[in-house]
Amino acid sequence: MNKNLIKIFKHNEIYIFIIIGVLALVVNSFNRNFLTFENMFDLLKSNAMEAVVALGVFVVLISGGIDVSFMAIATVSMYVAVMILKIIGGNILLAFLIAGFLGIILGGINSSLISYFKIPTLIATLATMSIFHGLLIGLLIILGKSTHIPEVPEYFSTFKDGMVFTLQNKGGNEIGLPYLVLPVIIIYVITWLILKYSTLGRNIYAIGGDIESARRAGLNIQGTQFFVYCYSGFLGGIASVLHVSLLRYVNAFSLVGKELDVIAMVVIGGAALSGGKGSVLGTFLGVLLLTIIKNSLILMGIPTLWDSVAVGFIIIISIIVTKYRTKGKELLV
Amino acid sequence: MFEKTRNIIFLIVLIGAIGLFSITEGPNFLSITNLQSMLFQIPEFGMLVFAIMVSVLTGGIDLSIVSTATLSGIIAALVMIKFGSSGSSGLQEPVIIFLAVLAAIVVSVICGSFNGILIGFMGISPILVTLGTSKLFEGISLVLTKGEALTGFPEVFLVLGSGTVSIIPVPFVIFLFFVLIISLFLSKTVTGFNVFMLGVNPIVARYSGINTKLVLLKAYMLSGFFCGIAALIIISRVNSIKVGYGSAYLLRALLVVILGGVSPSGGFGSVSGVLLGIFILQVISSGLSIMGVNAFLRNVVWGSVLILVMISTFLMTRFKNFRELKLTMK
Repeated sequence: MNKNLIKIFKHNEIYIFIIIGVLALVVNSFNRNFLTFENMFDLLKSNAMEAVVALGVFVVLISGGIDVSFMAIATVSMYVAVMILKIIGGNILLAFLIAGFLGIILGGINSSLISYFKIPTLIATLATMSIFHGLLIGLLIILGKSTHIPEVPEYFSTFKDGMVFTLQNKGGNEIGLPYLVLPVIIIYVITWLILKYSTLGRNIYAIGGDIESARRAGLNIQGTQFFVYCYSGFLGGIASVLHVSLLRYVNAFSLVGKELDVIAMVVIGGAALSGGKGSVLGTFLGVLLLTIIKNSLILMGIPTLWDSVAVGFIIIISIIVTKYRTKGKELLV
Repeated sequence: MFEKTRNIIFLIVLIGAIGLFSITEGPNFLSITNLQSMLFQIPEFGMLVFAIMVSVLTGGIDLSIVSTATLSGIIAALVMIKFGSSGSSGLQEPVIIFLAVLAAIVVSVICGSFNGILIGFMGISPILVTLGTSKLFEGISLVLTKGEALTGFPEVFLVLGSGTVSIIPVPFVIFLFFVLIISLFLSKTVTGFNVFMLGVNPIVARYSGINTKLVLLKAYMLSGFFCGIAALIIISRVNSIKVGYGSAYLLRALLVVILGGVSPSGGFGSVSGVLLGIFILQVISSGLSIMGVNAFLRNVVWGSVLILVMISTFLMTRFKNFRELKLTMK
């Protein structure tokens, strides 16, 4: 057998890929509708938001930290952005810009706390999560405004429904690659390029691997960490626009609480919390796997009540598996 | 010595806070109702705080305290409902209550052990493990309750959480008992001592012959146990249990633990500091709520305080290092 083929099996990703493949076939045997283009595109649309935000979590995880405030950042970005857009009109691109910008600012707050004040990442982001979300809702309550924005500008819906190209499927319905998927693809490619081919990317892996070694190698730790959390915030903002497009209204409570699901996706994809490990492809596969699992639970008629159990169970299995894969390479403790 | 100073500062802050709220809200704050209500709320929160304290002392963290408590509470509730007056078993009430309490404790210790095994024996990061288990426990709770609240517990049981001994709430007495327990555990037992050693430096601890895996397991089991007690207090106070109760407690518990002097990386901390932290937090929380500050803004306060505490710790360490540097340069 050829050496390269054997090498592939060393990577986490191939196993996830196989699991996805097997799962897809199993589900399809239960429900013929699973492996249809329509369902696939629907899946892609429905998890576009999580896919983007998962990348942010992933980058933070590689750098050796953790960010639990991303949903709060996304919520604030989307609410404020939509509020602004309702006044000034604009278009979907402007939505991305405003939300992304807000995301960067909020992420920047995280960055400052973590890179400059050296606050442990979990504590810092736990605190900022409460502050961001609390300020939004708290102020809304005081000002007597609603925490929902039921009417969003038209272009959000057109963005959701629009397609890059269309085909006619057997039933005569139009299906095609949704616009929603485009930002996801773009973000994934950009992130992959940054991580693989830039010094910044390599620094992120280095810091996650061993921060002390990175420091002694003279890497710019503060700057890199600053970027990482700003990027996570930025992706939160972008993802929130996708979320609004999908739902066509803004609900300030719909995202907070889903943090664990996204973290699960990233962890399944092979990223280790200790940092320094993981790949963009793995993250994407993790997102895909979890989405398929949830979707398959629905298609198999299992009530959504069981979702949390499934997610929790999967997180635990994944971290055990990840741990056992890296076991040999660790120091003796 | 450092501890004593900090405790004195806390005492001053506590008295100051009480004073402040007494002045601004006067009769509302100083009423027996309010004071009693604070003493009623402290125990359940306090138990969760000590639960997370043990795990932080070991250098990790237990993010699953609320889910563990919820699950334990739900199991206890189910026992009381299934076997209770609306059920059809021939068991007498005290037996049922005893079984429920036992069930809650057993479940919570199992949850804690689950964490302990993954963290201690498999060496997986506590943050990830407890994030996963918190989701898992929450999921199980959801399936068991179908998302609804469970209610209707025996009158006798409710005394646990809502009864009073003269004017002092029963749960507060229970709480003080457990404060004593954990204080003794940490200062007088070998495992307690080892917890600190482990927190300071796990590698050295292991090479000193401490069975770090077992210590971690015990620490998380204890954490679970405290969550179970917290659960019993919660369900007997509000006569119901539902997934989502206490979700705000996690951040506050972490805040109190850090405020109380426990180092986030473990190894240092004292029960007295944390206890004072609990009181301060309760006073401020009640005071703010009486002042009309809504729950979300209160969360903002807690988050901000946590950050401020961390920043000031950072600045103080910087300052200390700077002074030491200056001294060596002489």
